[in-house]
Amino acid sequence: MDKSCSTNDDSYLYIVEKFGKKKISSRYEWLYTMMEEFLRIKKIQDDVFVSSDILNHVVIDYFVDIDRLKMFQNIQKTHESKIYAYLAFWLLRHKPLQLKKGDNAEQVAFVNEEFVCDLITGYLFSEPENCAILNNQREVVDNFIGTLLYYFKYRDYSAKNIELIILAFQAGRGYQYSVDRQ
Amino acid sequence: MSEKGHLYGIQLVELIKRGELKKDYRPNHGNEFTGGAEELHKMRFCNYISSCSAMLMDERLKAASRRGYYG
Repeated sequence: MDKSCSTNDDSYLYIVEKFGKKKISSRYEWLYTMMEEFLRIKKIQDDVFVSSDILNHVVIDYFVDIDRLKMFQNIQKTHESKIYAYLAFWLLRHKPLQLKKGDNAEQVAFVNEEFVCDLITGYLFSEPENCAILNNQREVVDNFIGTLLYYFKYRDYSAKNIELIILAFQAGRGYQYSVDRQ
Repeated sequence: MSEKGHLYGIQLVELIKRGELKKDYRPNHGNEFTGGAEELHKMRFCNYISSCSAMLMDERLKAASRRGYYG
Protein backbone atom coordinates (compact mmCIF):
# COMPACT_ATOMS: atom_id res chain seq x y z
CA MET A 1 0.00 0.00 0.00
CA ASP A 2 1.27 3.44 -0.88
CA LYS A 3 1.96 5.07 2.48
CA SER A 4 1.56 8.55 1.11
CA CYS A 5 -2.11 7.78 0.46
CA SER A 6 -2.87 6.37 3.91
CA THR A 7 -4.74 8.44 6.48
CA ASN A 8 -3.67 8.51 10.10
CA ASP A 9 -6.87 8.41 12.17
CA ASP A 10 -4.92 8.91 15.40
CA SER A 11 -3.58 12.27 14.34
CA TYR A 12 -4.63 15.72 15.53
CA LEU A 13 -2.88 17.24 12.57
CA TYR A 14 -6.23 18.37 11.19
CA ILE A 15 -6.55 20.68 14.21
CA VAL A 16 -3.25 22.36 13.39
CA GLU A 17 -4.31 22.66 9.77
CA LYS A 18 -7.68 24.19 10.67
CA PHE A 19 -6.64 26.57 13.44
CA GLY A 20 -2.98 27.21 12.69
CA LYS A 21 0.16 26.81 14.80
CA LYS A 22 0.00 30.36 16.11
CA LYS A 23 -3.50 30.10 17.55
CA ILE A 24 -2.88 26.78 19.29
CA SER A 25 0.47 27.73 20.80
CA SER A 26 -0.85 31.17 21.75
CA ARG A 27 -3.84 29.69 23.57
CA TYR A 28 -1.55 27.26 25.38
CA GLU A 29 0.75 30.06 26.46
CA TRP A 30 -2.23 32.17 27.55
CA LEU A 31 -3.48 29.45 29.85
CA TYR A 32 -0.05 28.51 31.15
CA THR A 33 0.82 32.12 32.01
CA MET A 34 -2.46 32.70 33.86
CA MET A 35 -2.07 29.46 35.79
CA GLU A 36 1.46 30.41 36.84
CA GLU A 37 0.24 33.85 37.89
CA PHE A 38 -2.58 32.22 39.86
CA LEU A 39 -0.09 30.02 41.73
CA ARG A 40 2.09 33.02 42.44
CA ILE A 41 -0.72 35.22 43.75
CA LYS A 42 -2.10 32.41 45.90
CA LYS A 43 1.44 31.66 47.14
CA ILE A 44 1.16 27.96 46.39
CA GLN A 45 4.02 27.51 43.91
CA ASP A 46 5.77 25.24 46.42
CA ASP A 47 2.74 22.98 46.61
CA VAL A 48 1.33 22.99 43.08
CA PHE A 49 2.77 23.00 39.57
CA VAL A 50 1.37 23.26 36.06
CA SER A 51 1.66 19.94 34.30
CA SER A 52 2.54 20.83 30.72
CA ASP A 53 1.62 17.33 29.55
CA ILE A 54 -1.86 17.49 31.01
CA LEU A 55 -2.29 21.03 29.69
CA ASN A 56 -1.54 19.62 26.21
CA HIS A 57 -4.69 17.54 26.52
CA VAL A 58 -6.74 20.47 27.80
CA VAL A 59 -5.81 22.61 24.80
CA ILE A 60 -6.19 19.92 22.16
CA ASP A 61 -9.53 18.70 23.51
CA TYR A 62 -10.73 22.29 23.63
CA PHE A 63 -9.86 22.84 19.96
CA VAL A 64 -11.43 19.53 18.96
CA ASP A 65 -14.70 20.62 20.59
CA ILE A 66 -14.52 24.09 19.06
CA ASP A 67 -13.87 22.57 15.64
CA ARG A 68 -17.02 20.44 15.91
CA LEU A 69 -19.03 23.40 17.19
CA LYS A 70 -17.90 25.72 14.43
CA MET A 71 -18.89 23.18 11.81
CA PHE A 72 -22.31 22.48 13.22
CA GLN A 73 -23.18 26.01 14.29
CA ASN A 74 -21.70 27.74 11.23
CA ILE A 75 -19.47 29.89 13.41
CA GLN A 76 -16.59 31.86 11.92
CA LYS A 77 -15.12 33.15 15.16
CA THR A 78 -16.02 31.66 18.52
CA HIS A 79 -17.57 33.98 21.07
CA GLU A 80 -15.66 34.56 24.31
CA SER A 81 -18.38 32.93 26.38
CA LYS A 82 -17.79 29.68 24.49
CA ILE A 83 -14.02 30.02 24.72
CA TYR A 84 -14.20 30.37 28.50
CA ALA A 85 -16.85 27.69 28.89
CA TYR A 86 -15.05 25.04 26.86
CA LEU A 87 -11.64 25.81 28.35
CA ALA A 88 -13.19 25.72 31.84
CA PHE A 89 -14.72 22.34 31.12
CA TRP A 90 -11.48 20.75 29.94
CA LEU A 91 -9.46 22.33 32.77
CA LEU A 92 -11.88 20.82 35.27
CA ARG A 93 -11.90 17.51 33.47
CA HIS A 94 -8.15 17.03 33.08
CA LYS A 95 -6.86 19.01 36.09
CA PRO A 96 -3.51 20.31 34.84
CA LEU A 97 -2.66 21.88 38.20
CA GLN A 98 -1.02 19.03 40.05
CA LEU A 99 0.21 18.69 43.60
CA LYS A 100 3.91 18.43 44.31
CA LYS A 101 3.37 16.50 47.48
CA GLY A 102 0.62 14.31 48.85
CA ASP A 103 0.84 15.22 52.53
CA ASN A 104 -0.97 18.17 54.09
CA ALA A 105 -2.55 18.94 50.75
CA GLU A 106 -5.99 19.85 52.07
CA GLN A 107 -5.51 23.56 51.28
CA VAL A 108 -4.81 22.81 47.62
CA ALA A 109 -7.03 19.78 47.09
CA PHE A 110 -9.40 21.74 44.81
CA VAL A 111 -6.84 23.99 43.19
CA ASN A 112 -8.11 23.31 39.65
CA GLU A 113 -11.68 24.16 40.61
CA GLU A 114 -10.48 27.35 42.31
CA PHE A 115 -8.48 28.37 39.27
CA VAL A 116 -11.45 27.82 36.95
CA CYS A 117 -13.72 29.73 39.32
CA ASP A 118 -11.28 32.66 39.24
CA LEU A 119 -10.95 32.37 35.47
CA ILE A 120 -14.71 32.63 34.99
CA THR A 121 -15.29 35.34 37.59
CA GLY A 122 -12.30 37.30 36.31
CA TYR A 123 -14.00 37.32 32.91
CA LEU A 124 -17.45 38.19 34.28
CA PHE A 125 -16.16 40.99 36.49
CA SER A 126 -13.93 42.57 33.87
CA GLU A 127 -16.09 45.20 32.24
CA PRO A 128 -15.67 47.47 34.05
CA GLU A 129 -12.67 46.25 35.97
CA ASN A 130 -11.96 46.86 39.64
CA CYS A 131 -15.50 47.76 40.52
CA ALA A 132 -16.04 47.44 44.26
CA ILE A 133 -19.18 45.53 45.20
CA LEU A 134 -21.60 47.56 47.31
CA ASN A 135 -21.92 46.31 50.90
CA ASN A 136 -25.60 45.54 50.47
CA GLN A 137 -24.86 43.48 47.32
CA ARG A 138 -21.96 41.57 48.76
CA GLU A 139 -24.01 38.65 50.01
CA VAL A 140 -25.65 37.88 46.68
CA VAL A 141 -22.33 38.15 44.79
CA ASP A 142 -20.51 36.00 47.34
CA ASN A 143 -23.34 33.46 47.14
CA PHE A 144 -22.92 33.19 43.39
CA ILE A 145 -19.17 32.68 43.55
CA GLY A 146 -19.32 30.31 46.50
CA THR A 147 -21.98 28.23 44.75
CA LEU A 148 -20.03 28.30 41.48
CA LEU A 149 -17.00 26.84 43.23
CA TYR A 150 -19.14 24.24 44.99
CA TYR A 151 -20.71 23.39 41.60
CA PHE A 152 -17.31 22.80 40.02
CA LYS A 153 -16.21 20.68 42.95
CA TYR A 154 -19.26 18.44 43.41
CA ARG A 155 -21.96 18.86 40.79
CA ASP A 156 -22.42 17.75 37.18
CA TYR A 157 -20.96 20.41 34.97
CA SER A 158 -20.70 20.57 31.21
CA ALA A 159 -19.27 23.11 28.78
CA LYS A 160 -22.79 23.92 27.65
CA ASN A 161 -24.09 24.73 31.10
CA ILE A 162 -20.97 26.70 31.99
CA GLU A 163 -21.67 28.77 28.88
CA LEU A 164 -25.25 29.26 30.06
CA ILE A 165 -24.00 30.38 33.49
CA ILE A 166 -21.87 33.02 31.76
CA LEU A 167 -24.71 34.15 29.49
CA ALA A 168 -27.13 34.27 32.44
CA PHE A 169 -24.78 36.51 34.40
CA GLN A 170 -24.41 38.85 31.43
CA ALA A 171 -28.17 38.91 30.91
CA GLY A 172 -28.64 39.77 34.60
CA ARG A 173 -26.20 42.60 34.19
CA GLY A 174 -28.08 43.84 31.14
CA TYR A 175 -31.35 43.69 33.05
CA GLN A 176 -29.93 45.60 36.01
CA TYR A 177 -28.45 48.20 33.70
CA SER A 178 -31.89 48.68 32.15
CA VAL A 179 -33.53 48.97 35.59
CA ASP A 180 -31.00 51.55 36.73
CA ARG A 181 -31.68 53.65 33.62
CA GLN A 182 -35.48 53.65 33.90
CA MET B 1 -42.23 -4.31 10.50
CA SER B 2 -44.62 -1.36 10.76
CA GLU B 3 -46.07 -0.06 7.51
CA LYS B 4 -46.71 3.35 9.02
CA GLY B 5 -43.18 3.52 10.34
CA HIS B 6 -41.87 2.63 6.90
CA LEU B 7 -43.93 5.37 5.21
CA TYR B 8 -43.00 8.01 7.78
CA GLY B 9 -39.37 7.06 7.37
CA ILE B 10 -39.57 7.69 3.63
CA GLN B 11 -41.43 10.96 4.27
CA LEU B 12 -38.68 12.06 6.62
CA VAL B 13 -36.07 11.64 3.92
CA GLU B 14 -38.25 13.60 1.48
CA LEU B 15 -38.70 16.43 3.99
CA ILE B 16 -34.95 16.66 4.40
CA LYS B 17 -34.34 16.59 0.64
CA ARG B 18 -36.92 19.32 0.03
CA GLY B 19 -35.31 21.49 2.71
CA GLU B 20 -38.48 21.58 4.80
CA LEU B 21 -36.81 20.09 7.83
CA LYS B 22 -34.07 22.55 8.65
CA LYS B 23 -31.19 22.25 11.02
CA ASP B 24 -31.87 24.10 14.27
CA TYR B 25 -28.70 25.77 15.39
CA ARG B 26 -27.75 28.67 17.55
CA PRO B 27 -24.50 30.28 16.52
CA ASN B 28 -22.73 32.50 19.00
CA HIS B 29 -20.38 34.61 16.89
CA GLY B 30 -17.42 36.44 18.33
CA ASN B 31 -14.28 38.26 17.27
CA GLU B 32 -10.71 37.10 16.83
CA PHE B 33 -9.46 36.12 20.28
CA THR B 34 -5.85 35.17 19.55
CA GLY B 35 -3.36 37.96 19.98
CA GLY B 36 -4.67 41.29 21.28
CA ALA B 37 -7.81 39.99 22.98
CA GLU B 38 -5.84 37.21 24.69
CA GLU B 39 -3.40 39.77 26.06
CA LEU B 40 -6.22 41.96 27.30
CA HIS B 41 -8.03 39.09 28.98
CA LYS B 42 -4.82 37.85 30.57
CA MET B 43 -4.16 41.31 31.97
CA ARG B 44 -7.71 41.53 33.32
CA PHE B 45 -7.43 38.10 34.93
CA CYS B 46 -4.13 39.00 36.58
CA ASN B 47 -5.57 42.31 37.80
CA TYR B 48 -8.65 40.55 39.13
CA ILE B 49 -6.92 37.82 41.12
CA SER B 50 -4.44 40.27 42.63
CA SER B 51 -7.11 42.83 43.53
CA CYS B 52 -8.12 43.55 47.14
CA SER B 53 -11.78 42.78 46.36
CA ALA B 54 -10.94 39.30 45.06
CA MET B 55 -8.69 38.55 48.01
CA LEU B 56 -11.22 39.81 50.54
CA MET B 57 -13.96 37.81 48.82
CA ASP B 58 -11.77 34.68 49.01
CA GLU B 59 -11.42 35.19 52.74
CA ARG B 60 -15.15 35.73 53.19
CA LEU B 61 -15.94 32.60 51.18
CA LYS B 62 -13.50 30.47 53.16
CA ALA B 63 -15.04 31.70 56.40
CA ALA B 64 -18.55 31.06 55.08
CA SER B 65 -17.91 27.66 53.51
CA ARG B 66 -19.54 25.64 56.26
CA ARG B 67 -22.45 28.01 56.82
CA GLY B 68 -23.98 27.67 53.38
CA TYR B 69 -25.93 30.52 51.90
CA TYR B 70 -29.26 32.22 52.45
CA GLY B 71 -29.34 31.46 56.15
